[in-house]
Amino acid sequence: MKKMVMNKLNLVIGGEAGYGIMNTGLAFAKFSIRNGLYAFLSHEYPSLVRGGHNTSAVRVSDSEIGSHHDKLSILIALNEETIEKHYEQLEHDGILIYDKAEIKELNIPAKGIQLVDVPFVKISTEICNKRLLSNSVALGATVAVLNGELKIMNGILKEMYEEKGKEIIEWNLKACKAGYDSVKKNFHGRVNHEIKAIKSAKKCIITGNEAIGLGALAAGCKFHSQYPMTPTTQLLTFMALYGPKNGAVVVQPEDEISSIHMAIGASFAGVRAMCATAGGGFCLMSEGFGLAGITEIPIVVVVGQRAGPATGLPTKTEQSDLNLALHSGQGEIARIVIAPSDVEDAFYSTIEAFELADKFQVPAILLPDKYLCVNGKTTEKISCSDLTINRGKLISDKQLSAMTEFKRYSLETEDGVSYRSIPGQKNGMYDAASDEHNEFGQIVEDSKPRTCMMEKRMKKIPFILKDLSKPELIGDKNADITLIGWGSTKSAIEEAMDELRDSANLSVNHLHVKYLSPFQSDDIKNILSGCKKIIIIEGNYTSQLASLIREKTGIEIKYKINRYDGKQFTSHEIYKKVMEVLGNGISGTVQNKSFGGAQWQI
Amino acid sequence: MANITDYNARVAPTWCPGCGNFGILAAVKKALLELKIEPHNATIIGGVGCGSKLAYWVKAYGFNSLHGRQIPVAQAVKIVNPELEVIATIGDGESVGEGTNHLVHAARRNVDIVCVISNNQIYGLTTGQASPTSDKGFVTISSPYGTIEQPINITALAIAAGASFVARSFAGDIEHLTDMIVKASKHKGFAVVEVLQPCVTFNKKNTFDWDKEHTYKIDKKYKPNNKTKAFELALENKKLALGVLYVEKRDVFEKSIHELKKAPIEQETKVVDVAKILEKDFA
Repeated sequence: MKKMVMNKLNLVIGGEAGYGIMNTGLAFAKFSIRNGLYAFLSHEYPSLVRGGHNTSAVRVSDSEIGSHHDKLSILIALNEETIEKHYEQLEHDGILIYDKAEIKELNIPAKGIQLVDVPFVKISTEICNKRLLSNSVALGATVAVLNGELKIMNGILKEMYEEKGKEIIEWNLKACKAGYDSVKKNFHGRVNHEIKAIKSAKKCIITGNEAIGLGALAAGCKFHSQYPMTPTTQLLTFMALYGPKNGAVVVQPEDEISSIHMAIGASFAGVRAMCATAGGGFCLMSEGFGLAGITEIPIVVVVGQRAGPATGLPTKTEQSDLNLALHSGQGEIARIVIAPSDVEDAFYSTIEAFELADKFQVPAILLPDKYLCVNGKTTEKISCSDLTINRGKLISDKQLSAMTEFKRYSLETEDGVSYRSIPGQKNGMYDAASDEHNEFGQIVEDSKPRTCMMEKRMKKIPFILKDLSKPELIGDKNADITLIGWGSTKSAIEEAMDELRDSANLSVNHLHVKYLSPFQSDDIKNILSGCKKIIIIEGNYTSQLASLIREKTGIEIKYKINRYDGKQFTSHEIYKKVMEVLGNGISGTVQNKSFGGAQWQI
Repeated sequence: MANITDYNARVAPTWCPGCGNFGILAAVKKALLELKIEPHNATIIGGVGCGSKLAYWVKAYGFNSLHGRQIPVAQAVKIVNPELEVIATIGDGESVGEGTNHLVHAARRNVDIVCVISNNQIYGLTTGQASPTSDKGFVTISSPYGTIEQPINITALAIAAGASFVARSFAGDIEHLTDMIVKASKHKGFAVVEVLQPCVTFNKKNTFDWDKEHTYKIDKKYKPNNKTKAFELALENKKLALGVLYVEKRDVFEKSIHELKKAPIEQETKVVDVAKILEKDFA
């Protein structure tokens, strides 16, 4: 008999779009954190407004977690498709909560799965004549199955539906209670997971988009322009709602080209400015990005990665825009590219991006992916108490009044960064030029001024490097295997390392790469030179980080684990793939089964 | 600030001798003088094109953006600092070719900036291709058999898109143009001034003389408050109407933004403690 597991479970709710699947997942995640636990909330949804197959997964634990698992303790199915697609993920004795009356024929081997029949639709229609309360019925049923506290869930539902008015709140509370009572009355199976409140520091759950928005506001960002595009649309929603009360103007412009140009204009006029988009929108921003570089105007650009190319899989994750972030824009400029790994990293990296952009007067890219952008991680670590703001070399009125002429792009600098004036300042006039220019910003075309100005801009790079925190090899530096990753796979890789150690007795360490530009070539070369078998894990086809490492350090990484099916690695999948790589020998090409395809590369 | 030479830049313009843009440059300076705007309080946003590079040749804060992208930059500058006089200088290829989307949305948005559109019906800087405003059948190096598309009417487009001030003028009449720019500046909202600007090097058809013969000044009695009448006036193509075609009073974007209704953006950047947001909505 399976042992009862306290405060650790993995749940999925599935159904059609339009049935509040995402909100239901969020409600259950909040339920978990209000019980003092950690929840990781992930969503999968097609590019549709109604219909299609949508799921929200909530993984709960009493310790910090940052990735999803595939094995389920509970599956809540609001429709038949959910059962068909996910029943195989249920663990032995796992619980399926479903509405038997809605299923034509339950075509699954029920052996080993506990079936909990809750009449979602009947309860819902009895309350409000519509099916829409099914999800709240399901929430109540789930609380009951877990022997949890109903009143905590009630509190969450009240807040969630506050704006919809008293009647809707009442309906949802009734539905929730009815689901709860139904299970308490009719379920006589084995409760093998429970949620019991534990005392802990107050927790919150935020997505990557929300973390970036919070970071931007904390850093004093006063202008944000964004054209909606998955996966960063939620950042626009967040900024539009919270920006106004926290000092930021938010504009939804006509297109992405306008978006970046507005951010540049706002920054030119003196405030911290940001714009956000996805890979496709950033393609449109390419030339503007270079404009920020040549005019040396600081901006922060959030580029959320999703499966490409072109429209691709709009609502699925990928790590295939690294090259775009590194190389977009004609010509050559100094740029910053930071790929955050989780929500805390997203919050602090956003602030760091503003600081670095201001200090070095360069454009900075934050490069999350859909998995980070839309999924929720529980955190207690977000704090503004130690934050400071440094706007870099902004020239004062006093300094200007002592000058006969002001050279905005003065060549007399050690680090390539010259003082910047803001329109409105007396004696500070200059031209911010997209053309190559002289120290006053006026057009030049001759060799010498062009060469000098190019060198001024590019010599910022080693100075930016000095300000970046060093990459670290986590784990025993003499380990047999080194796993390399970047972006949002960090947590899954860390968990995979535990499994590799515990189940296969392997010694593993981990290099997580956060700064992609400027690239910490020397540090990474030193680290990797001491490593034995190196395996890189990337959510793309061409192994873009592996290529970058080779370009910058000369080190060729032979073992690559790739996926490009729009889904994120789980820790167990990484474990299995690493075992496959190892099982196939040390050298030569290795044929491995890809996720959904025939073969993948090494 | 005493006289017009205060607005003279360090270097002289690189325009061809006799270029219509000299007239526009003179009018912009005269307008700034008349409006009593100190050079450091003026921000001229240009782009890539002979006329739109005007910012380089006025002593003020200048920004030369990418081809056709000055309008978004100009709007953001004004939103962030409404105390500045913001003038976007833009050509016909930029305003109704590359950057049409920006012109149309700026008209709906109604940020309080002046948009001077120099229309020479050709692409001068790239040495003589057809423009979206070239007359139909116009022969150029990119249309050796004559253009096929119908030209865009900038003034009519501005009115249709919802600009709250629309005027047309001529680079050969500096006094008239100065007056239009002053009126555009005084108008609260997005103000478009289309300027017929002869390109002496590449456009041998729409010359100073041609412009003079094909334009007339709108009667002083004309009331520019009727959109339909203004549209009809704009569409006249035998002789183009010069003057203020349309004016409407409308709320300015930057004063309607939720947090800017009471006061402009705070210029000092401070840490914002977001803990309250987290506690209230994300716990």
